[in-house]
Amino acid sequence: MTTRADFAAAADEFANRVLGALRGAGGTALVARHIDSAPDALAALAAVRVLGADTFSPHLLAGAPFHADDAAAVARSFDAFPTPVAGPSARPEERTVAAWRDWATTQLLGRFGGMDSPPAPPGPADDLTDTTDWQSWSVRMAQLATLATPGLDGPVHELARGAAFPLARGVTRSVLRRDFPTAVRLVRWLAWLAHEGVALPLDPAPVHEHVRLLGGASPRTALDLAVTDHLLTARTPEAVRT
Amino acid sequence: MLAQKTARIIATPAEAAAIGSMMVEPEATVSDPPLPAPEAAGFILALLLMSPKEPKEPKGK
Repeated sequence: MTTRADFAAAADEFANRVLGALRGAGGTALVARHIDSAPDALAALAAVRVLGADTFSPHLLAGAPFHADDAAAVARSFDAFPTPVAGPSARPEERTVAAWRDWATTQLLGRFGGMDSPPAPPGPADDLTDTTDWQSWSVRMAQLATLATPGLDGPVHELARGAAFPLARGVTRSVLRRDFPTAVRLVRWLAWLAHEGVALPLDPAPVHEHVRLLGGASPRTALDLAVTDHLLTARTPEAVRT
Repeated sequence: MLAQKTARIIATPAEAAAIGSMMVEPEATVSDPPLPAPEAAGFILALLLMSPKEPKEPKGK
C-alpha cells in the first residue's frame, strides 16, 4: 500500500515538473512522462489529483502544448481516485471543496483534452456562500486556490468577486498566524481578483512579496506563487484601490 | 506515450482518503500571534537579578 508520505513526495515532484514547464523548461507530454517515469504509478496518479487544475497552468499561462497522452493521464488519475474525500471522517465542507476542485480539473481537461466536462456541482453550498464566519470561509477558499486561474469561471469565482473584503481579511489573518502556505493561496485569489479588475481593499503585490520570502520551500507553494506572479504581472494597475 | 496505460490502477479507500486530505489541506495548527503576558514580568525580573554580573577587565594589564 502506498502511504501518504509517498503521495506527498510524488505531489512535490510533480509540482516541480509543472513549475519547470511554467518557467519554460518545456518538453513533451508533461503529465504522461511524469507517470511513465515514476516508480510508483499510483503515487504519480495521486499527484495529478492533488495538483488538480494546476496541472494545466503551463498550458494556460505559458502556452505549452497539451498532448493527447497528457489528457489520457489526467483521465486515468480520475479512474484511480474517483472519490478522493471518501473517508468516514470527511466533513461535508471538505466534500464540497473536493467537488469544486474536481470540477475545475475536468473543465480544463474538457478544454485541452477534448473530453466531455461533467456538470458543475449543484452550486456552492452554504458553507461557501456565507462569508459571515470569514475565518473558516477564507480557509475553504484557500483550499480552492487552484480555481484562481485565468480561463476558469464559475459560481465559486462569482462568489469571490463579491467577497474581496473577506478574502483580504483572510490574508491578513493568515499572515498574522504565520500560516504562510494558506496566506500564499489566499493572495493568489486576491491576485486573480486584481487580474479580473475587481477593486481590492488590500494591494496583493507587497503581501505577495512578503509571503514569498516566508512561505516556505514547498514545491506546491512555489507553484501557487508562480501562478500569482503571472496573475499580478498581467493585471490592470488601476484595479487596486489604495 | 503513456506506457502504463494498459494497467488499470484503483486506489483503496484508505489511499483515496489520504490524497483527499492532501487536496483539502487544513490551515496550519499554529497559535495566534504572541500576546504580552504581564504575569511573566516577575519571572523575567528574577532572571535578570539572578544572572551573574558582567565580567570586569582585570586590573594591572
